[in-house]
Amino acid sequence: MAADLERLYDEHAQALFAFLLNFTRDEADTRDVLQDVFVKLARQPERLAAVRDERGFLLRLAHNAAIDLMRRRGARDRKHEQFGTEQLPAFARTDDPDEAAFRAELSAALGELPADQRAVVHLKLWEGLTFEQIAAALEIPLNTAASRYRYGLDKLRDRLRPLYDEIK
Amino acid sequence: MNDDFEKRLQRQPVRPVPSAWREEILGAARQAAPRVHTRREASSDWLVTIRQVLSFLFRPQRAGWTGLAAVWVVIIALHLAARDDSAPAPAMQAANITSPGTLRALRQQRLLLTELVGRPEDHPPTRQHSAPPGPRSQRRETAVAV
Repeated sequence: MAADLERLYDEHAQALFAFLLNFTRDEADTRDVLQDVFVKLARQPERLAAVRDERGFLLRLAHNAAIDLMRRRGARDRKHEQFGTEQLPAFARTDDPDEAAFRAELSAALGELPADQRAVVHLKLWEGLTFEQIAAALEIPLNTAASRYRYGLDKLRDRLRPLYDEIK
Repeated sequence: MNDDFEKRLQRQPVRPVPSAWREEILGAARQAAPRVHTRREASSDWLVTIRQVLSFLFRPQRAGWTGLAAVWVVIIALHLAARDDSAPAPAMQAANITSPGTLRALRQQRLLLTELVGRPEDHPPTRQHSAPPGPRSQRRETAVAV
C-alpha cells in the first residue's frame, strides 16, 4: 500500500495541490486537505479498488475534504470568501514582468470569483476536464458546471481585459 | 477573443507542489495506515506463534507422543486389571472372619483374657469426671475453704 500511495502522490498530488490552492486560497488549508486525502486513502485503500478514473475520484475526495474543512471551521468558513481576495500566488513565478503582472492579476481575479465558480474554472482550464468530468468530480449537474464556467470566465475576461489587451 | 483568452489562461503554469510536502504527507499517511495494519499483523503474528509452538510440540515428535499414549494405555489397563483382582479380597476376609473356626478361636481368646484381667464390670473406671463448674462466687468460697 505504501508504494501505491507514493505512486498516487507522484501522479496526482500536483493536480490536487493546484486545485486545492485555487479553491481554498490558503496554502495551510491546501496542505491539510491534501494530507487528509492521503490519510483517508491509507486508511481505506479499498476505496480505490473499483475506481476507473483515479484523478476524478481524487479531485472529488479533495473537494469534499475541503468543504468539510471549511464547515468544521465555522468562523473561518464565513471568511472563506475573503480568502479569495488575498494575493495568493497560485501560479509559477516568472522573470518576464508582463507575464508576472498577468499572473498576479489572474490570481487576484480568480480570488474574486465565488469558490464554486473558481473550482469549475480551474478544473476546465488547468485540468482540461470535460463538463461531464467536472460535474462528476464536484457532484453537480452538468448544466450547472457549464453555467458556472461561463459566468466565471466572463468575470475573468472583464477583470483581465485591460491587461490582456495591453500585453496581447 | 474567447478562445485566445482561454488559451492564454490555460498556458499559465500553476505553482508546483512544495517538494517537502511529499515526505510529510506520505509519512502521515503511512502512520495512519499501519495503525490498522499492525493490529492485524500483531494478531496474526500471535496466532502464527501459537501455531508454530503447537506444531513444534506435536508434529516432529509424533512417534514420541504415540509411544507415550501407548504407555498410558498399558498403565491404565494394568490398573484396571489389578483393581479387578483385588476386589474379592475384602469379601474373602469377611468370609474368613465369619467362619466357625475363627469364631471359636476368638471366643477362646476372649475367655482367656477375661480370666486374666477380669470382667470389665469389676473394674469401675478410675477416672473421676469433674462436676460442671458452679457459679463463680461459690468457686471462690471453695478455694478459701481449701
